[in-house]
Amino acid sequence: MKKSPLAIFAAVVTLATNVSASSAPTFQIDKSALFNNSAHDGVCNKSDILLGGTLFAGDGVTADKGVWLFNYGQFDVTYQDAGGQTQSMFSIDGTIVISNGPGNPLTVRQDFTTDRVSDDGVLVPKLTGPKALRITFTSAAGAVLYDQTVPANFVDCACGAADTTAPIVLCPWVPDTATCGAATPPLRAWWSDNCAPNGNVNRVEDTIGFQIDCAPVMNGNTTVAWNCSDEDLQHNVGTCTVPTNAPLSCSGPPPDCLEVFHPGIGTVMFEDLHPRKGDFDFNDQTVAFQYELETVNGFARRLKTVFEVMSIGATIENGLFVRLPGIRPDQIASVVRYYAGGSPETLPGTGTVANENSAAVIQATANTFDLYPGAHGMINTDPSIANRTGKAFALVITFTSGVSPDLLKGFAAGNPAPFDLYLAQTHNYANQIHTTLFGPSDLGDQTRLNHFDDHSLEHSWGYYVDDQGIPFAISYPDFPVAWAKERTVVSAAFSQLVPWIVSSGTNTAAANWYKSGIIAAEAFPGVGKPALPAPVSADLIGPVFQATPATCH
Amino acid sequence: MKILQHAFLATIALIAATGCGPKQQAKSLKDVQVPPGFTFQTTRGVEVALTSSEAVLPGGKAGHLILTRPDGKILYDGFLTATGERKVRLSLPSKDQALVATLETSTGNKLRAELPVSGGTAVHRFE
Repeated sequence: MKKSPLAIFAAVVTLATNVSASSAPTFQIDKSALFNNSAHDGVCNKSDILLGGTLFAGDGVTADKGVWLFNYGQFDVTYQDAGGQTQSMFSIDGTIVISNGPGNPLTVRQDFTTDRVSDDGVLVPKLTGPKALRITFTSAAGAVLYDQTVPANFVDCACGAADTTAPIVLCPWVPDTATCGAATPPLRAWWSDNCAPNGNVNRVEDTIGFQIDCAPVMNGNTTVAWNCSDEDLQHNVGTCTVPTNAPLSCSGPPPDCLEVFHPGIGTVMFEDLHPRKGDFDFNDQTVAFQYELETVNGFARRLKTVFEVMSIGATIENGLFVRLPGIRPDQIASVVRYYAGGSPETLPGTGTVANENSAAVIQATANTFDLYPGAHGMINTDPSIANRTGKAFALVITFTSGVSPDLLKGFAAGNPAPFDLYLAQTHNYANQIHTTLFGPSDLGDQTRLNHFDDHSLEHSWGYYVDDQGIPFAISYPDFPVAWAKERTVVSAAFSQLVPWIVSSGTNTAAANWYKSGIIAAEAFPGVGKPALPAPVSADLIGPVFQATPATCH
Repeated sequence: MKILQHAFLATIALIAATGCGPKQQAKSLKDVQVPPGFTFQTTRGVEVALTSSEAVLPGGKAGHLILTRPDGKILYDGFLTATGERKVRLSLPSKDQALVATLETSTGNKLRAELPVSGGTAVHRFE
């Protein structure tokens, strides 16, 4: 469950000024544009703010294609919350300077296409050659938020053409950690220069806009007040307040930008007699996994983990757990378990294991034998016995708002099992077996490391390894096509495994050891038996994660 | 002749005993001594940076970007715009030396590129 729903709010405020020097400029609010900025998001109830202002020369000006930029503007933006209270959203001062290039600032109060003397007697030559745009923003408290000169990418305007700069990513805005978690939402701004976009001859529009991700929550009717001032004496508009008075009510959900990462597809093979050496068949548990990470507007929203226990070549009862390094338990909102064809089951509380505090741990299943109802003895390790199909299942882990995908450190590290998938004995959770990159969990028994046959951390082999450096769990990045049959050393079934190990993984010919060079006579399902079916597609269990690229900008 | 035979057999036995020629490797996992520092990792992290020209993605509309492993398994399903660089961090099997990027534009055009991975990065610009 999210701590707070993020709201979407989009507004484009169009300020129109009459270019006639003899009459006071007038302002117009183009309410139709409030939610019509398709170049950005143009929607409400999204976790960002989109504000823009367009200043354009009035229609009917034939001799002057000048652009009246606001060379100074104070943007003091407020909104009304659902209770009708006026709240401050943000306040910044903006200075826009067009120059002939970096290092040659020249404030332009008039057009830049012809030489001109301003009302205060200053010659303002037209701009020639490469141009640059300098934008500075300072906070109401005077702090410089942004000061950068960027190529303006505009040309002397031949009306009819459109010329737009790329969005400018600004320095981070003041983080709203209550809403966004640890992530710092960026402030983005953009500036564009368009010629007669509305078909009006000799009209030039310039737009500056701001977008802040992860805005304060706003509900219902909202009013934006745009306070602006212009230093230009000729076109001094003084200080004005232009409330839109437009109810920012929207219908329908926002078109969020969804991306789907697939941080892992693979298999973990376990030997489960730790800390004693076993029989090296590595079929005590063979677990296929698939991970899908859904992000919304750049934040992790849901992680889907699909597991299928392919073999149980042991009598010890084990549970299957997944730990998410870098994710705190309070960053998990809920966990729902789905079985293929079954009803979803919401795990108690937020779905995490109690007192596992350093990283969130989720119990995938308490006992893997439960996935084979009615089965007795070892499962799918004896080729003389018919194959059995267990229950595949998925966990859908929903994060609280604002979790950065980068917090999923295992994903960033490129680990084959990017999240710590481990066994823990059903009747003694402290007895755990992890792959080499992961030590015991908070509640795991640390004393089992370097005990009996365990020689963890010797020779930099990692955790859960024996005196020869052989781990108790091996992971590889593909679905299993076979595994060693019962009491057969795994290297007899995977003929390229040992060459790969002794080369420290540099033997490229052996790098595909988990699919190439399999000796069927030493493997399950065995000679002459049908190939194992691939694990169930992640799309067939639980919700389908689907990207929405059309709404991403 | 018999002396020659004995000499030959002795030579063979000596070679076998001293391990002359290619270093003998363990046949069974039980006999393996794992090299120091080797942790059985089978993947590596790759940072992919993608861009596109505005000619490919006109009008500022995002394209549908899919990154896959060489075997077709999807790594990333998202978007690419003409105005920005898309950086994606992925986990790629160590045995794979490339990945595949497919970009579908809003007009239905499909562009495909094979991206070699070098030094943990892969870079491509759709033109």
